[in-house]
Amino acid sequence: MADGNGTRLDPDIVRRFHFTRAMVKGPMYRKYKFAIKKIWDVDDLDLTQDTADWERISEQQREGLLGVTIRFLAGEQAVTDELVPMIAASHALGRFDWVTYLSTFLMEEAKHAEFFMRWHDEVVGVLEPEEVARHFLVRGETLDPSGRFEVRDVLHEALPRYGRELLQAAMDGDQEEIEAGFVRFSAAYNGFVEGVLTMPSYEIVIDTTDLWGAFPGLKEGFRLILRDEGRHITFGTQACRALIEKNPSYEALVHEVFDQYRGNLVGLVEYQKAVPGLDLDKYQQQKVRHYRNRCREMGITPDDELIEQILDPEIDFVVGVQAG
Amino acid sequence: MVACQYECLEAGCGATIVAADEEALVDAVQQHMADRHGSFELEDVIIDMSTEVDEGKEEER
Repeated sequence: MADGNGTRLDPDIVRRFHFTRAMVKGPMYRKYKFAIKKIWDVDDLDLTQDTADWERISEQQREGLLGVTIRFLAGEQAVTDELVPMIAASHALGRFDWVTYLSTFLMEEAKHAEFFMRWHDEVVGVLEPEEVARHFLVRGETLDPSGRFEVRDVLHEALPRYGRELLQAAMDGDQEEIEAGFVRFSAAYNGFVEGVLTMPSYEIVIDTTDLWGAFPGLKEGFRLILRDEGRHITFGTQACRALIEKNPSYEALVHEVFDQYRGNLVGLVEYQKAVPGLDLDKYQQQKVRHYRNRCREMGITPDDELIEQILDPEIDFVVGVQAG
Repeated sequence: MVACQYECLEAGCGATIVAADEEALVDAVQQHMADRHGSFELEDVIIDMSTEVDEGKEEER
């Protein structure tokens, strides 16, 4: 190996440097730069009005809102805790641009968890695990009356499982196993959870704050979190697209992940039905848009049957929620 | 500056939103989402899936 002047270079030394001009101009590095420029601090949010609003709303409204926000509190902690395999796999694939961007991704997930921790502590007065767990809506109580679909816990079941498999592949070093594991993990994390399942939940909370004319701090927090989430989702779908373009057989892995947890998408699950007075059909329409968006970003063909099932008004889960 | 466009994938929509540049496109798509669907779109989703516009395309169709 030689430089432009013909000087011999040690390849081992050259390999210690990862930045290239192409990488710095590339889409992942652009996401990293956006993340750095748009850093925000949870402590800058004013929750004074939220605290006053909490005092004036009814007990039914409180329990409805908590059904959603407590799920976010648990979810943001889970995704913070489950991101390491993706970083390890990016390193194993030699994608320094992905690792660089993921450094901001992990920080942002921790910050989102911090936001929900602070909001529940200051506004609701709950923080300790025993205090918040009693408001967590149990998934086993969400049932499909037709018996066709099973509602599972993709966040707390699929992510740890796909994460363990990906971490093992990254340590073993087989390139194809790492790529396949990355596609499965990212399809579940960025595509399914962040990119489709949770999007209506953000809108449910934002619509609730508008409907009640309350909780401006919560709404502002959601606005800032969504700005970050857009980068997270499109990082994952772009990474999947790159891997699928390299090996088109990986497209089937995305569909397998979505198929395994199809039940969670075709109807609204317990926490998404917790707030009374919202137009629930709207969120199913939007879910289709988010699903089609993710498929477009990954460069794969949407599953038309899944779309029909999401839009089918006959498929409507019964939610027999029992908190705690 | 190159004009750019974004196709809305909301069920039953399929509108193509066109704007003079990326920043204007983000604003125009958000306006479309609010007016037509009572919703919003993520900024990175709009930017990543926008494409350069064909000559003579209308603002929105």
